[in-house]
Amino acid sequence: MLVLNKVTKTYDGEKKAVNQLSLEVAPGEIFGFIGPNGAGKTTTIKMITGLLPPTAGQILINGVDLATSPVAAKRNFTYVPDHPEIFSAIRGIDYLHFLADMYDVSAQTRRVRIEQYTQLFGIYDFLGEIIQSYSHGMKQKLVICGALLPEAPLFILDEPLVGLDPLAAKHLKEIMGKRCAAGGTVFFSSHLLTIVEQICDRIAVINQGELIACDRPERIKNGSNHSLEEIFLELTKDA
Amino acid sequence: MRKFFVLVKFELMDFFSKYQSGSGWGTGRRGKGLVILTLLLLMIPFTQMSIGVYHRFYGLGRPELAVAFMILLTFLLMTLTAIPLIYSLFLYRNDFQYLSALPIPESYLGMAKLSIVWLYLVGINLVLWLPVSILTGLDLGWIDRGLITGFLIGILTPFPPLFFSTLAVLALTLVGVKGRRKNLISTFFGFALLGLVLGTQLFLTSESGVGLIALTEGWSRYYPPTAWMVRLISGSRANIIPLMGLTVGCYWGLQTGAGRLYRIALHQAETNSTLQSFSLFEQPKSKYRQLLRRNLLIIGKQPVFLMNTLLTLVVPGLILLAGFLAGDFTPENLAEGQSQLTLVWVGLASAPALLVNLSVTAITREGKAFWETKVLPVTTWDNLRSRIGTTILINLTASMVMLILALLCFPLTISSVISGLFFVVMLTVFLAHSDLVLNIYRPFLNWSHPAAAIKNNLNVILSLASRPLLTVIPVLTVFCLPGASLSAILFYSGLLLFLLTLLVRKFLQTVMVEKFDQIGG
Repeated sequence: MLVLNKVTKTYDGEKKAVNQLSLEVAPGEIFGFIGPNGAGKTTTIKMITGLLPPTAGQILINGVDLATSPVAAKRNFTYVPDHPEIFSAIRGIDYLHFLADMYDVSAQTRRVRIEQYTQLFGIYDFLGEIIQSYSHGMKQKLVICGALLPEAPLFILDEPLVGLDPLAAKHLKEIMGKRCAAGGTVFFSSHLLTIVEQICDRIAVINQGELIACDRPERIKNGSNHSLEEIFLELTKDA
Repeated sequence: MRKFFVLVKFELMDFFSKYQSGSGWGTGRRGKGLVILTLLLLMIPFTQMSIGVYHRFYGLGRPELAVAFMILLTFLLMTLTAIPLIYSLFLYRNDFQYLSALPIPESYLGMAKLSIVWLYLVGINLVLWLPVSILTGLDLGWIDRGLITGFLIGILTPFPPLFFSTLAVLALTLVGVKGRRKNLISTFFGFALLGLVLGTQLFLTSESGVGLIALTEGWSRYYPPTAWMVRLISGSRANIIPLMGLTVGCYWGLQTGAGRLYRIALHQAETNSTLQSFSLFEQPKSKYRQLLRRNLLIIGKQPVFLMNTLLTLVVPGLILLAGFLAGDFTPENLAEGQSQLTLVWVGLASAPALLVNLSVTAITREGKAFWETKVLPVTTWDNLRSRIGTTILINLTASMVMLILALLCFPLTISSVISGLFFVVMLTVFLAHSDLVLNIYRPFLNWSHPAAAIKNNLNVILSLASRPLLTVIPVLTVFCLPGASLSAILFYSGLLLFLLTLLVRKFLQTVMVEKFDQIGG
């Protein structure tokens, strides 16, 4: 579903934020992407979502090259950023209709999905309100609902649980699981290692722009009784 | 009382820090200096207006009426300024939430905010009123009286308009105009202020002396303090008594009003407003239409962007109006020649494209929400095209209004309309493309206040500064087609602009698309 082939991002021709990163995420997987602050997680996610062009390397989404066919590639994923900075002078419902049009979601389908997801996250009653009046958590929920709306094969989330209340976090984790059970793929970054360990099929650890581990959680732990957090700290101790 | 002054100082710092950060010059010493410089520069035209008023009435042999006129004018100006300011300070900030928890009397909180408005009004009042007062004092041979009495009047006369504005805001909240209508309030009062300033200028320059005197005397009867002030400046000290009485009455009224406004603001912040209805059903729209709508809404829903665009768009209309009122456009002038009329209407219809350089901030206006359209399944070119389309749509709409006005006002020929229209459309389309190149080269997305995105932005200045270069196009046409008619010059200039647009468009589609993809992240 997602292939990163020797992806590199260099700033100012010198500083390598991401160096020769190669990854493969299979359909049906929940893939956790972890690393310390400044490791290159967000830069990688920005390259996958087309926000930043890589300096070198190739990104394939559902077999489509993001560099050569960006529109076709972008139809295959939706994205939830780490900060819900969205155009907030419009109503929540207008934001969702805007996204539905961008992903060609039919009038009937969007009606059902908007109601389903916004009811689940408890923001349905506020859809007629201007987004500016939403709290941080409500904005985050709206962005998540918008990203769920097209039901794209790949769901990319950068620190999605920040700002969410426990119930919403539980719903999101359940949706991620259901998506993968239905053949979809979830790629997400988080600092909440217990949750990553709990729900991910595979985990990639990035440090100083380079991939230092990529495997199933139990294999990364290599049979030890240590928690993922302890293993993570050990792996990234030079950071 | 010490706590009250500390609170006023705090509110004042908050007010000016917001103004300063809004100006986009940073919060450092340099930023402060630039803000003060801007304020000083803004004082110049208003002081000139005040001196102009005095000289106009002096010329008519009634200098005392300059005092009456300025009292009336400042009353209206201060009222129109205070209403949106009170509205903003009380109903659009959330600071009452934490201020109400402080161990200070409730009455201090509302009055501290009104004190900021009063200080603001005193500033405006002194700039406008003091020159007239000093000149009248000089005329009467009482320089010290002109200055001291003028200063006293300058700090006391803001009380009635402040009281009146507080009542107006209370009335607006009673009819349901609360936080959500800030755009409407700002826009309405912004236009009213602009209309008042321009109307005064026109009134002073075009109205006959007899009419001006009659109008000032007539209006003075509706506002008794005018007569007190005229007599006070003329030497009758007894008139300070009714002025002091009025001030005390207004102060008492303001205390009551401030308390009421404070409770309304607190209630608004604490209670959820009635939830608005919405429809889950919506007919799908094309991606381009949605992107265009988004770009239009970014301007339309942000008060600073909206005001800036609208106020610049109405400038050509006001020039036309001023031309008629000032007598520059008279039946005799209009009969002088078709070429002159064509130049006038084409100039006015080109003004939106030349002045409202929306493309130069088309990316910047998005700010931190810029990422949204970049991750969507739309081509980069469609993304850019929708921004160009937004500029063309807004500017051409304004140009069409100017064309309709011109057709109503001037006896234009068909060839003048067709060639002029072709030129205006091509100019608008060209500038919508070329300005975008500048914004792609110099995007600015991390602004904290919308004013920083559109004003005090080097892109805007560069774009406006480059406008004189456009004169090369008609000059080149005249050079290549010596003896050609104005319609022909306009048509061929339009054609040249069309060819230049094709070049810039190609540049955008190739080089700039890649550059755009590098932005943000």
